[in-house]
Amino acid sequence: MIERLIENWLDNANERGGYEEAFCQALAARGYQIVHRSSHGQLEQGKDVIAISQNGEICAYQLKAGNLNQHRWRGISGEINDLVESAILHPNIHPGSRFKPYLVSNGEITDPVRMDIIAKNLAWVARDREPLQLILRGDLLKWFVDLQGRFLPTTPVDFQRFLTLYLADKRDFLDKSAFCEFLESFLPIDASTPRAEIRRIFSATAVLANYILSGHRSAGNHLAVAEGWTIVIVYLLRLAEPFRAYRRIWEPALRLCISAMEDALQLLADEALSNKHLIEGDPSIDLPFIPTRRTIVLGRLAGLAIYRRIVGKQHPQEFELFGRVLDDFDPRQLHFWGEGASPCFLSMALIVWCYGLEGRACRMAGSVIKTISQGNSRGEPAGLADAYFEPQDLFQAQAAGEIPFGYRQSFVGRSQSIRTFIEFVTRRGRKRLLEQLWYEISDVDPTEFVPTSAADAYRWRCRKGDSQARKWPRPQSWAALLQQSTQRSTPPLLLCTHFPELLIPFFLTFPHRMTPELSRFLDIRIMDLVQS
Amino acid sequence: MLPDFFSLKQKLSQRFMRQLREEIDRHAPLSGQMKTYVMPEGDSFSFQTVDGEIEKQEFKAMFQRIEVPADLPPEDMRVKLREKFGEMTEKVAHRLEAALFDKVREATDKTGLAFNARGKPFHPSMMLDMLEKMDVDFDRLGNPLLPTMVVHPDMMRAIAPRIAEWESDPELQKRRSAVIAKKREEWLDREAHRKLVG
Repeated sequence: MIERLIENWLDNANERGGYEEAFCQALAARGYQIVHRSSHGQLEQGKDVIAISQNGEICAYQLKAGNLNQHRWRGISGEINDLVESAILHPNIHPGSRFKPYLVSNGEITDPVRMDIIAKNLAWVARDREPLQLILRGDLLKWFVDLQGRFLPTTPVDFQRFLTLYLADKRDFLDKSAFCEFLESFLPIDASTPRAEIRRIFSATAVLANYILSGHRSAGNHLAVAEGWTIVIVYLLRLAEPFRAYRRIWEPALRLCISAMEDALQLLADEALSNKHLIEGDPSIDLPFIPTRRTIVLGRLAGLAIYRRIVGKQHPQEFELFGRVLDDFDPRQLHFWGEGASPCFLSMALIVWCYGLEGRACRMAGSVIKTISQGNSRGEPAGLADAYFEPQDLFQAQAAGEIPFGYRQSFVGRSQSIRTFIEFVTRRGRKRLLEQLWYEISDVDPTEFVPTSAADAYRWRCRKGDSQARKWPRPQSWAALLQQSTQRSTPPLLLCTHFPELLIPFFLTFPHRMTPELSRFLDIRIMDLVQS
Repeated sequence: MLPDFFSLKQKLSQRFMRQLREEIDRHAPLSGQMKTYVMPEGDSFSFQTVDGEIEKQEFKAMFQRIEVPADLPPEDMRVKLREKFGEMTEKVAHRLEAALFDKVREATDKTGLAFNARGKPFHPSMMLDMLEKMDVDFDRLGNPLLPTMVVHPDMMRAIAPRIAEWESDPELQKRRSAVIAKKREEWLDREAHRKLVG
């Protein structure tokens, strides 16, 4: 059954962003090091992917989609010549190194084309070039099916989950909860994993995710793709936690996922920068959704800029991204639907602060604090939805005339993200701002979920853990607040120790995991970066 | 399997559960007023009391079994179910209220706020004695948010005829005003501490 599904996916994939990622993951699972992907750089010369095998063999691949008949073959013969004849120009590869050229297609080739390749190969070999080799539909299918091995949905329930995600409307938000549930259904999260299996598990997971996300990518649903890859990355980090010493084994597959997430975020940024009012679809229906979309999109744009800064490669369009955020950096233009929106506001405040507009960043943080402390003050009927609620849940309930919350459910008197914003303002020494807000703040207990096992913070939901609500001291000492806000400690998670740049995408995708400790770590890191 | 309206029945079942909760609340006037917070993950929760202590608790399941013979004719089944659900909501409500009182008793014993009348008949001065021991909050208009008083129906029958008399007792009213005034001062003092200092 799964073979039929993979077949279906493969037949419908185009090369760029269709099966390229899965192909690279399959190479990584076979121990290849991916040194170049043309979609990520200028260098092409007929080579979409360049990889080095475990025994040092250099391979160059050109990826095509669909069947290759004589007409198409003639059309691409120039590229094929480049693939075989042009030397690889890459800093990691010695100039003039021999390499094996491959033509890869998820379709088949006709016999005349095959004959032509044989003839050309004779000529190339005569000129001391490596012959062109083929990887076609059947080979690819075998690669992917073999790669999955036992890392597949096996029970009918898990399979149904997979199918539901695979067949979901690709224009809609990704069902993050279902996607996480699906990953948890086959990933050995609680079981011990043999070291020899790590590479395969990582690649198989990424390929499986690719089956689901490729439809969203084709539909241009960049947010869903970015969120999907973020989830995959986060779950792979959860698996990697006990294997920190074997980073060399699992990192290549993880890097490919990170690169897929980056691509999706970049496409989202490109689209957002070219769509001034962020209207999507029929405006007569769309208008009420614009403030929410604006909040999500601007949060992502700011997040992308921050991400690139932490990586150490400032985004080439960072100023445009910042300008776009700044244009609408006003609580009245945005929508704080609940605490699930907090990471969007935090990332916007961070990028605005990075550009020296500390006052505006702190006022934005202050406005979030005020919204939460007033919305969740005692006496309010239900308060603001916590970070476990997605905006679409709230909209759907509203449209159906239903109450989105549980029976007698209330969020009054508590907040998951208020401490994050209070600490943001405190670290910037804005005592006066907090003094003005403190009376209302003091009525809202900061809460946080602490998983029993720290590594379970990567999971969408944890079975074991403590939901903690604490009170603000009365009175609250500024010195104590300042001391806590500036405490430097690195949470013992790979996410913080090795991949701090992923914290922002993590918060934006898992808003309920934006704890004060993690957001403090992130903010201090950014402050150090800007001030250094 | 006979033809079934499975999905529709699932929705109806959710609605029915909500109705049951409302029915339970009707029988549990105190816990029925309390708001709930849904914790979507974890196996425990902890909170800080006003004294600064951290209390950690685990979730406790509350269930009530009902049994109805499966071979009853639909009409009899309807009657039986109504009766059983009625019993069930009352029992659950009773257990909820009992659990609430147990918790209040535990907390008052722990904090020394328990008041023992030692068999004496009820008098409003006892209530004022209790009020003096506890924190009272006030609303934005300055009205006291007095605690809910729960009395046994027998006791209520005994004290009801005397309420008017107590309300017009100048001595009692004077003491009540004094206690409220003192509580207001204490509250204002507490409120004054809701600030950022240093």
